Amino acid sequence: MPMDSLLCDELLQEIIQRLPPSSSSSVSLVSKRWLSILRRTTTSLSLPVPNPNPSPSSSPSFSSILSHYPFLSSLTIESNPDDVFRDPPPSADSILLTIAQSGCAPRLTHLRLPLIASISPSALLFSSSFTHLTALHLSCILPLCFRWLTSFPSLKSLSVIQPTNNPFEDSDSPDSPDEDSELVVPLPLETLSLTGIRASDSGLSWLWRRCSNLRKLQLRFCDGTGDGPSSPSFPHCLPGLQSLELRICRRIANRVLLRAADHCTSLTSFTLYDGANRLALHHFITRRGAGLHSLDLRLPLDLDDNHILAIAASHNNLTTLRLKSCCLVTGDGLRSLAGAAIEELALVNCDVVEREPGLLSFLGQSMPMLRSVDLSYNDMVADKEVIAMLISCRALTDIRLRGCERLTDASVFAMIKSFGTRLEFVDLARCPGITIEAIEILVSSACKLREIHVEENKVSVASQSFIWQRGIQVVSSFLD
Amino acid sequence: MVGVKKKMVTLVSSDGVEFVVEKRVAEQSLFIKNALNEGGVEEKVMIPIPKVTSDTLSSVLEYCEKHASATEFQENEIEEWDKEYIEKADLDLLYYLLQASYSMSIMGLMELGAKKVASLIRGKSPQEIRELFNIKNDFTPEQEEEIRREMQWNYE
Repeated sequence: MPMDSLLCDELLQEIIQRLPPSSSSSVSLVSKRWLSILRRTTTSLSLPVPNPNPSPSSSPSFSSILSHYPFLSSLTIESNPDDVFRDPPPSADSILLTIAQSGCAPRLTHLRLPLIASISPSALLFSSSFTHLTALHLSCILPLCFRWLTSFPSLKSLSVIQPTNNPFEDSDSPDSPDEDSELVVPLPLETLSLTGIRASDSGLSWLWRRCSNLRKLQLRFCDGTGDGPSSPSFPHCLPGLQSLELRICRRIANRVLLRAADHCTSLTSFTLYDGANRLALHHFITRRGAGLHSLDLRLPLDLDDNHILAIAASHNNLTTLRLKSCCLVTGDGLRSLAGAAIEELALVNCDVVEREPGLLSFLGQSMPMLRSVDLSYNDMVADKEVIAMLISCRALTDIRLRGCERLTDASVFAMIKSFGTRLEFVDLARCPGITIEAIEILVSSACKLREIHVEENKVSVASQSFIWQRGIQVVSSFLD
Repeated sequence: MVGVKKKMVTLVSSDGVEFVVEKRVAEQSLFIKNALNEGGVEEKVMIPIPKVTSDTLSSVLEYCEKHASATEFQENEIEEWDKEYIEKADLDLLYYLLQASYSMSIMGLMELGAKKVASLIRGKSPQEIRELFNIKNDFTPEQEEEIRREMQWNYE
């Protein structure tokens, strides 16, 4: 009996949709019917950078492949380090225009082109068929300009990564200087992530003035915010921001912080990795501290107790506080947060954890809402301190103790005893004092555990069977 | 509602066998639910179920019976039951159940069956899949080669 004919297209589609991506290549080769259904059910595709001039016999052209997938909503063109050595090099403009001309363009909502080759603003301007695109990820627009955004009427999220070693150091401004006379129509952009922006980049002024809908701004490895060293248009994007993130932007951190203090009246989340001096931090916290729900600081060398006291004094609404490598903060500062509604606390590689006995216990008792605690990389912290905290944190579901090298099984047992049945996430990687047996007892008794980070050789056969049974995710490769 | 007689309906399989079941059980099928609403008749209804044989229908009704009283069970209990139910169906019955769930509009059963068939396909080569489904390969070797090249490209 030909079973295949019993299943109508809709049923076969239901089945194929439930297969993992790894089965796609097998399914495609079963029969013409299966291939066409597979293509029709594919909504997300990731392709390598196409060969600019394929020999006609060897491989199907890029545009013909796209034409097989009329229902794509998400497309990624994966670049490959070898692309640099291609001759001729791949042209990002022609790839973009091919996608724009394909049948799937009006349906696409997500497009990622992390290409090595640069893309030109005019190619983007002519890509007017992406009417439903909401998220776009590009690398290297040369010359840097954003006027093409008017061709993307639905775009809510934009990410641009400019190369830090930009060969076109003095690219001419593509923007006409007389833009003051131009009507400013706000863009629909809500999320913007920019990497590698410099003070000399002139196309930013046009962008900042149209970012009044922006909710989330991420700046990474930026030496400037464009538009000259003082960047007068930058504050235009600030009033609506709910989330601001500055990573490795030392040269602009102080200026952005001061502007944010004055203009970011809606800010609830702030992340700062590196940079900013004592004064700028203090000004920012006194002006904006009361509105913040989440504060994430890594290595701001000048952060000290006064800043933490300022947060505590600002009728704070903090629910998340993450401090990494903040070496000047002491117990006096942290104790001032007692009674706060903090749900997530991270004190990663913070000397104070090891220096002040009794502090962790105090924090555990005075923050009854704590659900997530991260004490990673405090390599000298002892069982006694951690246990004293854990026994009072009865609402905990997530705990990270990565790289706490002196901890032993005693800490794991305290965890099980105190909130083992509630535990959902645990990171015990790089804890040489914790044994394979303790991990086994942990996974067998933590019935809600979803994810555990631990070395492969600490997962016993018995642990493995619990992990399989409950579908727990085990992460055993640690990059940092 | 104690003492009130349960409302029954009669379903007729494609091979003419009659099944008398409670209305709330039959209504697990949207197809039957709609038919009853349109008919407006409450008693002694006969509903023909075309294309579904008596063997398949009795198995379908076993599923409907369990799920009609699903609120009485713990969620994981019904999951466990589903698992055993679909596990004991052989390949032929599995196809017939899928087909029946589609024509009778029983979403839960269709999902259950589709998931089971997907699990049979997973990890198999194209030839193994063809054998499982009794499918004839209608590609030329050249076409196969072309598809293979296209598929080397990553799927997300």
